[in-house]
Amino acid sequence: MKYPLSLTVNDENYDVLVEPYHTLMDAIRDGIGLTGTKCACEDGRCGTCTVLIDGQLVKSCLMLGLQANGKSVTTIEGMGSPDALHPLQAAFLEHGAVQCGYCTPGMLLTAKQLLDENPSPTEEDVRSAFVGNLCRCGVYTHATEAILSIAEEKEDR
Amino acid sequence: MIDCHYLEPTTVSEACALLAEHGDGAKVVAGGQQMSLLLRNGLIQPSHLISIQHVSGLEDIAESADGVTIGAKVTLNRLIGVDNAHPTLRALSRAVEDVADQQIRNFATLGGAICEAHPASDINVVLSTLNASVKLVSASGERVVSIDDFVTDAFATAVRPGELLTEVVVPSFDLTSAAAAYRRFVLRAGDYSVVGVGTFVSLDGAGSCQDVRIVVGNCSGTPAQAQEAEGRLKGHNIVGNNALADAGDLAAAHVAPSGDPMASSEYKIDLVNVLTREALAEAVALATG
Ligand SMILES: Cc1cc2nc3c(=O)[nH]c(=O)nc-3n(C[C@H](O)[C@H](O)[C@H](O)COP(=O)(O)OP(=O)(O)OC[C@H]3O[C@@H](n4cnc5c(N)ncnc54)[C@H](O)[C@@H]3O)c2cc1C
Ligand code: FES
Ligand code: FES
Repeated sequence: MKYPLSLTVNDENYDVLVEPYHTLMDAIRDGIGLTGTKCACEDGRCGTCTVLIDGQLVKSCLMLGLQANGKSVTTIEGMGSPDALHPLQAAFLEHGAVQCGYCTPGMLLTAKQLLDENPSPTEEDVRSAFVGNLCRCGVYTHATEAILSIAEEKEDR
Repeated sequence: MIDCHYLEPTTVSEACALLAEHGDGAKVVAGGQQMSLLLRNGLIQPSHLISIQHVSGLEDIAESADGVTIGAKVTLNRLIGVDNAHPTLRALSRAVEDVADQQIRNFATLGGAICEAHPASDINVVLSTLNASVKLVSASGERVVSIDDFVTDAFATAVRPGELLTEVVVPSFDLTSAAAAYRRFVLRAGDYSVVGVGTFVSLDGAGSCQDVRIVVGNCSGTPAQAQEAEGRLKGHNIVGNNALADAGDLAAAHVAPSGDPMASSEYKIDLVNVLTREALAEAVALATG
């Protein structure tokens, strides 16, 4: 039986119909059509599907769509655009923190949340923030440098 | 896929009434961190999902003389650092820091973690070590069950159709002479534990062990008490001699874990020995310090 699901995604309202067993990831990708949120393992281990719900990180494959009803979701499409990159996106590019790019949307949302909560993280803070984001290409070192470079810029200002 | 209904009660009694009405076909959804996987992959096909997301009154942490009561919907991330206000929860709070990752801990609830009854659950091992119990409420009443009786096998619990787990009670103990600790081993951060061991010790002023509990995780379907190792310690002086090493040897001698792709049986047995010694040493240091 389908239920109406109402989500605010990147400040826009969407109303879709979902089955109770559909995940938030299904609703975002297939229901709404925002495919920046990636799907890799589908069992909660990789973190490519990471989004923010009301400012909290979640793996969107591990939550039912209906659990997010009425909530505000931020996906990678809400972080920046090709013409106006988010500072973290620019830093990832500059530091070569992207190889195949599959993990990147999830990595960037985790990085954004980290800096929102803790504007001057240590290297250790950054590395432990990535426990839930797997990168099979191994960009962790470059991603860590990218994030620390932004944190430093903020400090310089 | 059969037709599946999604219901959102707002009180415990409403939730229990819905669970009673829909019987075996009803399943509780808390944080959904396990349920979403089971449902999406068609591993379970309930007729009714009872989401407790909007049920009020299940998110409190309260302390009385008897112990600390933790609501079923308290998330794992909220338990990190909870020992500042409730020092007897130190081992639980430390263990939770390493459970899964921040994304999962943001939504995973304590009640869900217990009811999932994963054989590698860290949480159920720590709760068993702390002698915790759970309160189960149904339309016809309520009962309190110890964690040891609650977890009956891998992925199996004593919860009956119609029952909702509402709270966990961790009994109090004297922090000046007793302490608990938990040690786990993983190959990669964020994984389920290969082996985990929880210990609780209570000592008198002379270093004699008044009470002890050693619980081993992921070597059988449920958290397993290492009674032989406990027997080596209880009533004996265990400070400054080889009692803890003996206990490690005995705990290891009495487990029979099956091997898996991450670790052979022999490897797990060695881990039981090492982790038992480490967790005992930590608990003893805390209890005497
Ligand atoms: C990738 C991954 C890694 C993990 N790593 C670890 C780890 O290292 N250590 C560890 O201990 N755990 C680990 N977990 C388990 C995790 O802690 C649990 O999946 C989570 O806590 C479940 O809570 P939930 O609220 O999301 O439960 P749900 O998914 O909503 O429910 C889980 C089960 O409990 C039942 N249930 C939930 N709440 C109640 C209630 N109040 N009354 C009755 N029944 C209820 C549901 O019906 C369902 O059967 C991991 C999980 C994942 C996905
Ligand atoms: S697709 Fe969600 S964690 Fe991998
Ligand atoms: S860049 Fe390829 S998975 Fe991370």
